[in-house]
Amino acid sequence: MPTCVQLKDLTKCYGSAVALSGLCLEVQTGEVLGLLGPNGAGKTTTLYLLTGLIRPTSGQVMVFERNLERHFIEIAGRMGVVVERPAFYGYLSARDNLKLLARLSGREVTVDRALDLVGLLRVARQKVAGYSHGMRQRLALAQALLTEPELLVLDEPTSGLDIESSQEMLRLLRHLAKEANVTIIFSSHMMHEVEALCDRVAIINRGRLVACEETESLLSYDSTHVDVLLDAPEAAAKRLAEQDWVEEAALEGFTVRVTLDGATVHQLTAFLVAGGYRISGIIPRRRTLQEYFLKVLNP
Amino acid sequence: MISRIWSAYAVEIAKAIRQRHVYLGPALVLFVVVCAPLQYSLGGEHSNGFGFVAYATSIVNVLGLILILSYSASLVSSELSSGAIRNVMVRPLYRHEFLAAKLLLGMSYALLITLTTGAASWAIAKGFGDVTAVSYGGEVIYTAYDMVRSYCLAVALALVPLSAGVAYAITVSCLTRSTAAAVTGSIGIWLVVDIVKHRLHISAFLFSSYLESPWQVFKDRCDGLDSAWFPMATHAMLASVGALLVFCAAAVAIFRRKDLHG
Repeated sequence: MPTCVQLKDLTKCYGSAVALSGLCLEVQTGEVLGLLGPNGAGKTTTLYLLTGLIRPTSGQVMVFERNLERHFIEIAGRMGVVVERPAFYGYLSARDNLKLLARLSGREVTVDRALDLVGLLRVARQKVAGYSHGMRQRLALAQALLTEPELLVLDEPTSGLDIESSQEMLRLLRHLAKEANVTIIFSSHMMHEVEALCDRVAIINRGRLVACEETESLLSYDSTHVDVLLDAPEAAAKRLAEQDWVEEAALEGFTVRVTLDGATVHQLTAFLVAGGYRISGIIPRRRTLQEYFLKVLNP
Repeated sequence: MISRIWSAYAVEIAKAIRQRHVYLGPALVLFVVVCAPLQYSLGGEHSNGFGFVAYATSIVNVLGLILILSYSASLVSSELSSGAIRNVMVRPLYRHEFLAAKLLLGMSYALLITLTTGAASWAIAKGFGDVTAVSYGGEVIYTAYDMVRSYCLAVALALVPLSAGVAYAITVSCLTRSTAAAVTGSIGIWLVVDIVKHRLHISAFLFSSYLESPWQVFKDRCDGLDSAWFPMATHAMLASVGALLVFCAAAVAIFRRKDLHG
């Protein structure tokens, strides 16, 4: 698969403050990459460098195998962008806003199609000044989709949306990635969104890329983390916590969440049977992105 | 590139005609011109309609410049402060092309102010005064055609320093996200420079020195005097076009380096 985006040793400084330091990242065509990181980590800076809104102090941005600075017009014509806290001309309707932006894109496009995709067609004649934050967020996605882009760069696209709207937006993005082979790079604080949508996750902290893994392998089942269902969970949790081959044993409802330290599930089962507990199930636990994220940030 | 600038200019015009504050300037100019007969009564010894046109134009001159500077200074800064510029600058449009569209919009506004002044003052002059000719002792010195031609030439010449003014205000506008700071900054700097220009002997090099010169020629002709366009027109063109180029280059240099984050 050809490379869609290549960030080469990207550094961005604001005065003496380093927002991004030597970032190298590649995104393949059709891939969905989630950008994670705590506040101020450099996620928005990365996305803005990728869209040309800010200029790198050093390094290179290559999109569609071309240098962004030198081929900006061509690249911008094939890219859709949703910025953080999107702003529009409040004195114009949503339709007029999109018509003007479409005109700048230099392409004949159907504005109503984009409005329909994000569910704003019925309120397309309303002035944007009267729009709620969620409606503006949806309008932002509509303007990004106007020209049927090959690359979508989205900075927290679901921020401010209610659960139903954000699920709808995720469904739409998933559809675009799967059916139209659109490459998507997006940042979010919502781990479950990233889990559900992304092929790969990149974690940025203090301006540096600290991890970049395939989502599937990150979330694989792990035999050291198990949930045990048994007849006396409280007593079992207490006894397990005393064993040196158990890192952690915590009670959650009627389940004992066990993290093994060097032992196998077989050993755990034998120990519980020998202790006279009646086991109804031992379930390997799926790692969550949140766990991985916290582990990466606090090694 | 031309087609992209043209598209951006069309977008700017479409936005401008939907903004109420854009109409405030021409309305104010119209009000001042309509009130001008209170000071310059047409009739009796002041029956010269051309004189009224010159008078109305001279009183609107400074107001017009302030309106044009205010409007132009808000063009970039307002978009920077609202953040709407980010949706524009991710489109296939270079930053200098965006600025060119803004410059054209500012120049269009200057033309609108000038035309409003002209249309209103000529209408009043024609309705209440004599605009057949400028004569002295029964002898026709300038025909109505001569005067209209002089007026049109003055408009054309006045638009050049005004365009430099637009470029200057846009340069200031690129420096700040605050519209208020851009407007007060551009007017304030112009006022300070205007006050010290004679003391510093830089008057001849400033575009703002030539804002009234074309109208002075027209006014002299209204009084039956033979006033020449040259060398004033040459100096005005050189200083204004020079300033226009310098400010455009400065605006592009500032704006290209500007980070458009939230």
